[in-house]
Amino acid sequence: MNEKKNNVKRGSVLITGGGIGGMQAALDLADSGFKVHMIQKESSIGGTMAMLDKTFPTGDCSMCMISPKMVEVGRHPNIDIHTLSEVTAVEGVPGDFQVTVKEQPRYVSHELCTGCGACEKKCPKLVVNDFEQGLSKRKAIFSVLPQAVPHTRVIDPDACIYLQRGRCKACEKFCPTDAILFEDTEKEYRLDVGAIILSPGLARYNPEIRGELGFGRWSNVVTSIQFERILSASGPFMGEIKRPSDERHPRKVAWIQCVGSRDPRNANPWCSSVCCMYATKQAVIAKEHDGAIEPTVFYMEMRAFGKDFDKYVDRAKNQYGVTYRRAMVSDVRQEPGTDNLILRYAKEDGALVDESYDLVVLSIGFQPHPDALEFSHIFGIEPNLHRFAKTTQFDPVDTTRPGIYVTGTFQGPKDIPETVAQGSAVAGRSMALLGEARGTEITEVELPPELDVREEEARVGVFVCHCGINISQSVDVKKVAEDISREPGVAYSDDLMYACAPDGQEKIKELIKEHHLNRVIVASCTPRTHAPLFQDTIRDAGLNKYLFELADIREQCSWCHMGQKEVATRKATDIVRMNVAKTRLLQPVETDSIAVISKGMVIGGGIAGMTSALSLADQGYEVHLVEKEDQLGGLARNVYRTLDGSDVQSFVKDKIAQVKAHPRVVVHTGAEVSNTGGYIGNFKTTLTNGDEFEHGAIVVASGGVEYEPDEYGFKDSDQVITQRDLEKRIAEGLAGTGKHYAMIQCVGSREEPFNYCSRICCQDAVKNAIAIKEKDPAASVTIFYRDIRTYGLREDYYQKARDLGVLFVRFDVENKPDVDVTGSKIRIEAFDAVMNREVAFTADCLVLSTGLRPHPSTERISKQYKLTTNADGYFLEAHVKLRPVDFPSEGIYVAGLAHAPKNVDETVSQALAASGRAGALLSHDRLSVSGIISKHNRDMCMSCLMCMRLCPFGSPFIDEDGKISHNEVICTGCGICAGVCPAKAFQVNSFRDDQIFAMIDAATHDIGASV
Amino acid sequence: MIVGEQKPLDEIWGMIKDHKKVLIFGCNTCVAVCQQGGNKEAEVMASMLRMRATQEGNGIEIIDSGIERQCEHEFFEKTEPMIQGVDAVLSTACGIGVQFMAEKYEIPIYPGLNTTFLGAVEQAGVFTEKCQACGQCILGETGGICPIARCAKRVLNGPCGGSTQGKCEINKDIECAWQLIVDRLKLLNRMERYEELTPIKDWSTDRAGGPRKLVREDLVENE
Repeated sequence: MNEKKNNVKRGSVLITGGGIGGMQAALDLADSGFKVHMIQKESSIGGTMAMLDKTFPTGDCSMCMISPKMVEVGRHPNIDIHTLSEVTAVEGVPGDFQVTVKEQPRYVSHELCTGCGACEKKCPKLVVNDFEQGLSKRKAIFSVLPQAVPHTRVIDPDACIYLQRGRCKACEKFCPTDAILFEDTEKEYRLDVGAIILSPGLARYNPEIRGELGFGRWSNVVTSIQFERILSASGPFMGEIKRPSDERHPRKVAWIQCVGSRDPRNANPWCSSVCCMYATKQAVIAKEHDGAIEPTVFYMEMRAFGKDFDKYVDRAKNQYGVTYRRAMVSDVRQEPGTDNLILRYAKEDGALVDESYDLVVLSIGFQPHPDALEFSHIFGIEPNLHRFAKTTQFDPVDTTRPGIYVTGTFQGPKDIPETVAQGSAVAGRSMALLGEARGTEITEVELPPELDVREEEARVGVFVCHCGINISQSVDVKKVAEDISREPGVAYSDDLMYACAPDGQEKIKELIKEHHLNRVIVASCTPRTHAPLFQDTIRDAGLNKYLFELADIREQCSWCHMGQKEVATRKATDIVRMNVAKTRLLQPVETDSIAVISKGMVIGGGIAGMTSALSLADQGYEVHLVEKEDQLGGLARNVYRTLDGSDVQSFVKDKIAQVKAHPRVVVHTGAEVSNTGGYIGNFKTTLTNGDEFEHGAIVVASGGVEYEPDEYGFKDSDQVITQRDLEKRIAEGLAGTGKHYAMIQCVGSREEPFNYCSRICCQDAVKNAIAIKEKDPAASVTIFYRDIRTYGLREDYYQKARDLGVLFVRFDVENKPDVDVTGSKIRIEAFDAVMNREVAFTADCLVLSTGLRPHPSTERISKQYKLTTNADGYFLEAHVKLRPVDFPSEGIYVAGLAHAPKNVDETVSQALAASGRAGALLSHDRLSVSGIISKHNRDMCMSCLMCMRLCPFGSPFIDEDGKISHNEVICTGCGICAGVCPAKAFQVNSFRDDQIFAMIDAATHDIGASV
Repeated sequence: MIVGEQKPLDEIWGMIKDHKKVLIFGCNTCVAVCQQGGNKEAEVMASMLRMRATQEGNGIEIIDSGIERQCEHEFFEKTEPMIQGVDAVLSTACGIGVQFMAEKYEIPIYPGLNTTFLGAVEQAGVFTEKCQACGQCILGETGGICPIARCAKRVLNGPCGGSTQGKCEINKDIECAWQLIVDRLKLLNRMERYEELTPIKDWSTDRAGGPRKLVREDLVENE
């Protein structure tokens, strides 16, 4: 029976956890034709990222970035969200799992609830708000956050007065759509899926365990996640920085790092990876909110190991005046009478200091959920020593059970971009497993034919929504509808209680038919969530969806003019009038589609390139792998072991063999791209060896190079070697015993002009030091370092090295070690801060930890494909947080060292992510082009080239006639071309000049020229 | 290409404010490419002038339009009635267009731009002078770099004593044209040319000979 089952491949995937990693996986899978079941324990998706205020280094609002993704997941026809649900059992085999799901009652109907919030206002019960980290209260019927997806309210049964004591029902009484379901019960059901993705996210360390830091005792000691809420404009203090005890603005604010991390005795032994950077970000944002704040960060080691992280810390120091103090705070006490906090710490010279602060933020670390072991047990996967999911360096997103993949912080502490990348990576793994079942479990929507209204006179229908009382309490909705009915072109105008409720939408459809409406305006809430909904509504009624406009009279009117009904009503009428003027001029937009060549090309045959190529090939696509050297393998050919001792050499050999043997991979060695043309879905490439082929996607995995040092006498002595040389010697068997190996870190890194961390060198040093000590305990190893950056679970090995007796000596960049090589002995002098004096060592071998540099081919490739690089010369992704493997130019993806220095496991994750993204693209037979794009009128164009020079996507180009043409396929409708074109030859659909002018004229209709 | 630069709004307002009805008239070729005087810029300028009029309580009527090129008769035909209906025109063409219009119409034609130079578009928004239309091109002798347009002194046997580390003495941001010429001749392996003295230039083909005129007899339609 089992054998038979093995052949079943289901076209669906179950994802547990709707944080940013789970959402990325869900969207990649759903967009490429897989059915996705998203299991979410909470009542809304969003996860930890939804709690954050801003993200660094761009300072983008976290909610503004994640909310559109949440909406997209919520609206996707191929994604079913199961909230308040947990998996209780998993049976079956890869390709065919049977999953039992238990769903807690919500007590509110998804179908009937419009999210108006009337119930919440009337609910009499206040409870502590977990989302706001206990800093404010919420009601018993609530929405986790205002942008919750799904937006259906939920009743907290432990707090609800009716469910606890049998009386109240205020919510039911005031619900205008009868959506309250007190009789709702727990449900259990089975889902059959082909693959499972685990993205349950993280728990945070409880700092009350560290009693000396005073959390839970002194009210002005807060956690970092509480501080995120304090910073947030939608948080308890509306973005004003206040301290909890007296809501006074704090001046001196201290961050204490490593609370709950790197502490095997009281907390977790691992490094949480992200706290150094989030504390820096919080200090910067706090300073931006309130210039009077003086931020100080108390830290052990600054682990700014990621791309451009060191530069951000430098900016925090130099531009924002953030003070960094290398000290661990041993005691926090409240100053009687002031609520200030006295921090006790030792200065670098050993002197004990008591210093007063107004507010203390504890940078608490990540840890697996308390029930992580049970969770692993349910899914039948093995946990690692620290209760995270067990994975390997070479298969970082595969759990121990085939067909079950893991992404995000359940795999180990990591930041947002790496979580997002792993989200795409697990999507890619699932696609490789289930490839042929794609499209088998999704349903296509049947739509009526579109009515041709182009020649008709405009007949605009206007629906003014009450939104319960959200709009109608400040705006006289009936008066707006009546005044608008007199506007030219308006054929119908009326009010609706809830335009977005199912009955509201049905009514809109009926009225379109009854009154032969050919353009529709809904005056209600934000277009962000609701415009796509109403576009679908009018499409159902046979109208082109671009004949719709949404007039926002809630966020932009009723909510900001509460209690000013007369002016609010006038403003609402103006807003709707402007939209009528525009809507009269709306034209249907025909959306084009283009064929996709379902083949990929990967540039670079290192680990990243080979992993990408194999993943794409396993997904069922032919792949051209282009490597400029004569053999595959890249830099990894010189690496022998990973930090955890895994054998890199045999991994590389194995990959090379797999690539060569794969029937769908075509390997081109000794070749580079000489000529390229085309765009997403349709590239044409000629190689330097004359090979020519067409393909739909490109993965740039062109790698990096190792820095060859000229520091510390490297070029003059055979005893001065690099970590890579040492690694080779260790692999070949070290000669002699009892020798002293000295290592110097950050050679050629973290200093101008290469002011970035190469990320791998600390681990190389620790790895080689451990290997030396294990092979020859009589040998001694001294590592001279600036910060040891063994982030995440790598911290275990730093601990191990210290346990084995490896000596660590810290130096400052202004005071580097002095090296003197005479004869066979090497003398190293360095200043030791702990002893406060110079110390000298004599070593037999000096090992330099040299970093990585961008590959010399980066510049040429960036020119060929119009890709940008960062200041250090690494390729720049489309968005550092949410699009970590995409380029702004669509259809091109990045992986590995070409993007930034990284370790083998991270390279594999990123390579899988790039091929997951590329695979999602190649899965389409045709790509549909967005309707909101710029249209180019070649007759008016004078080819001044402004558009071509300024377009970030390269869609205007010089054509065969030597004039400007426009490639609409890659146009995103940003409108830059329309803005700069001196001939007005570019106009963006639905944002044409005449439409905007009509809106301005409508807004200013009663303002005379003689004001 | 002819490069121009919009005049300050105050200066323009000073020219037109006493008229009743003014046409802001764009020229959609050279000065449109440099985003200073095209039909769209004329529209924007008209809008700003209307705002200025409103602020000052001036009842002046301002309309806008434009044509492909203001230096050719035929293009004006369609806008003829409009031009006849105003009492002044602000032309955003180069000096050529302004004069051409002034010869055609018996109403004041004001310049909206300062015509700046004949230049190239180095990149979006950056224009550099390359030619002075001296009427006798010597680029073939100077490695393709013009000492007339690009040397402040128009020296024909340079550099002069003011050349320091490749920069001109009038401004350290300006390249010494003769340094560029020497570098270029070296690159082209033509340094022997540098040894030859350039004779005194005949400036009669430049402005010194009065306004210039070119007639292509074969193309002139005889009446």
